[in-house]
Amino acid sequence: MTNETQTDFLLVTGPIRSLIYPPMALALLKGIIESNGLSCKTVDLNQKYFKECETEDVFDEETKIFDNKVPVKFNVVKDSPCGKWIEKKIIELVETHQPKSIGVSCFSHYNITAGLLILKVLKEHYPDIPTMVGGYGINSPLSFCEDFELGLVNRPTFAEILKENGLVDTYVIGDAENVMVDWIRTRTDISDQVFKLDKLEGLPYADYTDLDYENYEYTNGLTLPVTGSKGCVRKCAFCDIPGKFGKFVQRDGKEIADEVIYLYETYGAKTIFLTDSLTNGSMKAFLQFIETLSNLKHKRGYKDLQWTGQYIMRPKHQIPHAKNYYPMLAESGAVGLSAGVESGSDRVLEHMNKKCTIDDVYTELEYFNQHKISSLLLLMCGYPTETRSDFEKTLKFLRDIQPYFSNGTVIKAEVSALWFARDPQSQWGRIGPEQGMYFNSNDPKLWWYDKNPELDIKELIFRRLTLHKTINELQIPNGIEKPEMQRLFDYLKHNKENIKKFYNNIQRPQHGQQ
Amino acid sequence: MDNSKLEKEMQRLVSTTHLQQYTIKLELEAFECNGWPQVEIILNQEVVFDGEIQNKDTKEFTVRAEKKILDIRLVMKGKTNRNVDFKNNTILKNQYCVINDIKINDISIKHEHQIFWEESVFEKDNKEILKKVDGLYWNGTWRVALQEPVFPILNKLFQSKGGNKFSPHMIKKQNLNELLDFINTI
Repeated sequence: MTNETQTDFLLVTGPIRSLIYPPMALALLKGIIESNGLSCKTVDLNQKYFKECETEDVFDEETKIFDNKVPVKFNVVKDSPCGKWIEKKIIELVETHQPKSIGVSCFSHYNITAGLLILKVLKEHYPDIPTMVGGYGINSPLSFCEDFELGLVNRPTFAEILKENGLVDTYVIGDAENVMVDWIRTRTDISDQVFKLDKLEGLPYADYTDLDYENYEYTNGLTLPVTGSKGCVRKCAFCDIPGKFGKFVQRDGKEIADEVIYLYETYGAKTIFLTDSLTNGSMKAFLQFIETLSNLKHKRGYKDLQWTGQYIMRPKHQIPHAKNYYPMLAESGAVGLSAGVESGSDRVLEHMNKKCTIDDVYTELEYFNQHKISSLLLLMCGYPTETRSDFEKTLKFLRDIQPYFSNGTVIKAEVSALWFARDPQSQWGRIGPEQGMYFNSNDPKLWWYDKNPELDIKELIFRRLTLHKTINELQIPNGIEKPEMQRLFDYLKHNKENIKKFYNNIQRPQHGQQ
Repeated sequence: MDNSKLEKEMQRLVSTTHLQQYTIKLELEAFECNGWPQVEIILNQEVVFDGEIQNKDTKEFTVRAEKKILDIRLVMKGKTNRNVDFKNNTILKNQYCVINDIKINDISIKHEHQIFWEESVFEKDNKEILKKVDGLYWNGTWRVALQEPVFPILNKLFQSKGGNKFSPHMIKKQNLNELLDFINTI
């Protein structure tokens, strides 16, 4: 290898990741690295494999093995059609670009199995190339570590497993934006440190030129992401965001609007996906964003430019001048605002620390209806304190909002995951059997809370199936029920014995936590 | 609990998610000619209004969901030649009532859906049937009959219009049975 032909850094990601927009981490880091005079090549193997498959069903079927949801031997993953393709592709990429160092991005726990495969291939074929791993997913546990039969020393997080077993040289916890360039130049081990941006202004814009950005599975035309904030202003009891992202950092609203316009003009992106945990976490910046964007759209005649993202439903009294706010929100191009309603029960919402009531949700939806702003609602099944009566209130909520599905005010309603999954970094993750929360540390879906004893695995499945049937019977638009039901089926098929063992142990509390 | 009992309980809960009643809002606009139109409004075979409509008028009613057909009828009666002014084969003035909109739970079946146009019929007193009529111009009955439950059907229609990107998908019966077996055996 000669220095002249070598790429400074190769950054890849693998399955499974939603294809609704290209991976921002890859494009943003490329933008940062190249603006510092280094060369960087980014490759989204998830999207590339999708293009290899004849149909979406084939892609779903062949990548399911990577989802970190059911026990599977590593050799089975490696020898699967997608596994073999990844191995071949990684070797091809290294041979072509001859990178001086390589990074693997794991957006969520869904791409850590692919991350493991990529790093194993690299260690086997190119042990001398320094590697690093980063992304939100590396904090997740490798749920079925022993079942891989790789003889890996298990650790609480995927990142620690990789480091402990010599599969990676370093990992980045948190924001990689300010440390990547240093690492590429010095390769100092930065594992165990937490990196946090204290401001989001002034970063170079993301560079999508390596990615096949015109060929993702967009729902609203070419969609590119923008980050307006990191972290969250709320501390919902079920959520891992405050634990993982720490202090909320907000970018200047005007700068966000400028980047939106840049992506529209540079790549032709007509929909911009704000990756923020909450686009309206800071109302000051949000108002600045929608006002600037409305004005720029109007001045330049960009009528077809729209944006989408996660949105918090606020208490009625916090809505800023409803008469001006909602028209401006609509004019800025807000569509498909994704809101975590979670439950139809005020009792559950209060326990979750959502800081709004179901009545507030109805109020905001009615404003959306009046101003033709579409939304996507997320619900949670089986929150640990949810009683059957609370669950019935969620069903009632679905009953009451039916008219909004029929005119596009609500374009989708989805039940996040199968049911509540205990995240170690959420408030629920910080309590154990002594506070009544029994859990299996390898399986976030396997838990039982003794303050709400009726909510056992049978009841969880029953409620989830009831929600599934309701969604179907009311013809509620939904994009995830099909894979989720398959996931439920596979989960129970592969975990029956673990579940039985877990519940048997709970009946003998002296055995404590598994 | 065996599978059939579990399914029955599930179905009981699901059935609570169907609306028990509908709010029907009729936005009417009447034009007079030697008197205002006499209109009868019949919802699910029950006369809920019988009288004169003048200018713009909105009538709102609540009707129980019967789980069969939601039947909405507007009847014009008593219109005679006196209520139409003709001169040289041209109508100078006419008595009629336009249905500007019908909203079910605030959802317009005229502007947000095509049902108003596609599913309605007007039957003149002389039994002649007319389609795509948006009001009462003759003596007779304007009618739209919607299959209940109304909203799942409207949802489906709305989705079809948008390319059906997010259609629901029912779990395979065999998989459902296996899941219910699991609940029963664990």
